[in-house]
Amino acid sequence: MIDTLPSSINSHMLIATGVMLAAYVLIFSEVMHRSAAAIIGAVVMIGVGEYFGFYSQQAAVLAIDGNTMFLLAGMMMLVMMLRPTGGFEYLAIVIAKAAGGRPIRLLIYLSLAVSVISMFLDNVTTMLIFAPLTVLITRLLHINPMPYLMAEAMLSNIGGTATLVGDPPNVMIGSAAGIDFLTFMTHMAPIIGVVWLCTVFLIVALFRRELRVDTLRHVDLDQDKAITDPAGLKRMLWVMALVIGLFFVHHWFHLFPGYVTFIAVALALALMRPAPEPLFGKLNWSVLVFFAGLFVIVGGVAGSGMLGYIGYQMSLVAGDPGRLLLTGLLIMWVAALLSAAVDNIPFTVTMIPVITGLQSAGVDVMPLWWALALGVGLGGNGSHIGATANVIAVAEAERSGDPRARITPVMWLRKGLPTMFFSLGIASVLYSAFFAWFA
Amino acid sequence: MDLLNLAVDTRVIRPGAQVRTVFEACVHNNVSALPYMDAQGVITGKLSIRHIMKHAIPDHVVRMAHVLGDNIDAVNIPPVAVEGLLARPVEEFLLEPVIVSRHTRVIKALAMMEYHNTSYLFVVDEGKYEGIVTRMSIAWRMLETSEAHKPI
Repeated sequence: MIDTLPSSINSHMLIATGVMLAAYVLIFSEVMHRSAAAIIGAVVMIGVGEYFGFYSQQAAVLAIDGNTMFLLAGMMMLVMMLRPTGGFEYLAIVIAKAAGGRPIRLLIYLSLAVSVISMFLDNVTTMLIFAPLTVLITRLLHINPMPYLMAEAMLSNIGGTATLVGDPPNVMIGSAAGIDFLTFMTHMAPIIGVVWLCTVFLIVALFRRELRVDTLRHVDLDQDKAITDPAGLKRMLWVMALVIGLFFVHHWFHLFPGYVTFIAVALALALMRPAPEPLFGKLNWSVLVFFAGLFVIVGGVAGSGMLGYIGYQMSLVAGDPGRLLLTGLLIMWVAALLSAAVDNIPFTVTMIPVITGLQSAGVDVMPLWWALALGVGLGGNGSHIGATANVIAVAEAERSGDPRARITPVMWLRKGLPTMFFSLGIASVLYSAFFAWFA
Repeated sequence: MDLLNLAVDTRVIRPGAQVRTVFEACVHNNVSALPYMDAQGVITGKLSIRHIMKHAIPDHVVRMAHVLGDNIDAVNIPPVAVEGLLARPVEEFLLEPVIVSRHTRVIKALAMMEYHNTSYLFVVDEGKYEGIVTRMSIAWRMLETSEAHKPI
């Protein structure tokens, strides 16, 4: 099997890799918007590939993972129909009141809510809704909002790692590896559950000074006024229950997760009858275009044989069952460190064909998929730009106008980096201890 | 119709003035904005009460206004913050002015208000500031012309 992979580098590989690296430099340097950089990179890759004969327009279209694209677009549409009903705000206020003004309890309750929602919905939207409410609630309680914003972002990043739909890299990994929702959750949720709990304790310890109050205060917010469309909220909750239920059984009916999402979208459109312009006009096209562009770029590198070559080199190590654990841990930590520094999506999209190549070399790649998902998911906590949720937390802290709440990049490194290493350490121990379960 | 007939004559705000001056003049003339005239005597900006007041309210309070209770002392604007706002230089709050001439038709003035999402326009004629036209002054004129069965 290993003979099917290229064992030496040729000029096509170098050209394709050069185009990809140039595109990634454009993306990471933020000289232009990342979606624009991805489009330019994709167009150049197809043109160069056609000219040298290692890539084609048809291959580029096939390189775009339709399941991932439809799943992401569908979930975006569902969130856009659910969000205006006010259900998220209602939940946040109820939770804040349940905490009874106790700072640590409030931090755990809010973080738990954001994390659980992030397991099934986009955590960026969840943070966008919860962050301003968090600032308001903490202001009412005379507490510094900074620990809450950081905890929500970091714990929602961890929570999102638990499911197939919780984080875009997971969607891509699940789609490429043919992992269903239930299998993903049964493998990732236990390890993430432990990591989440331990991280909560760490965060409470890290922010112990900020979480002290002299007097318990009342949160004077009216949750009933948060709900602007009760009938719409009920309908959307039914739709969300259906889609989550279908996620658990989609593999039994041979339904793609992307198709499952669109079943829910179709039902929601029929029940909600939203105005088309706000729904389709506000769809986050830049994210979808970015992903499509990356798929095309990486498809070109795969077409040149470069990723197969990397797979071949890795198979020399990972092909030895005794070194598979080491390879998994290496992937997890490299993925995490890179995800802390730069966008984790390009790395995931690049790694997927490498691991698929390993599979064709006869390596048992299942543990490597889990390692990749853990690495890119947990690595985002390392810096303020490691995940979009972090960026939202930083921006919200800045907008609060409270100088105590300001989250500087150094501040994030001081709290986020230990959190990342701590959670990765726990994940590594569990991954190693239960390696047979991941194989 | 000469737009001057609808305009309210107000003072202009000069460089170096404080927000307090803007508020006092707006309250005196019963208008919600005033023009800002630079050292060369040209209208280069506008000062809107709404825009200035937005700086006194934290953004998260605005976004969650619909769920706020009545006993939210913790997020109230403290007197010291009000004093601080009133003492700030007007240059911090300048916006782009929307200017029309005295010969502008009323329908165009209304259209300009819609287009620029504003409820007032500054009337400037041959470089001289003549006053402010507001939706309220146009509504007043509409009532008058309706009674007289005349076009506005």
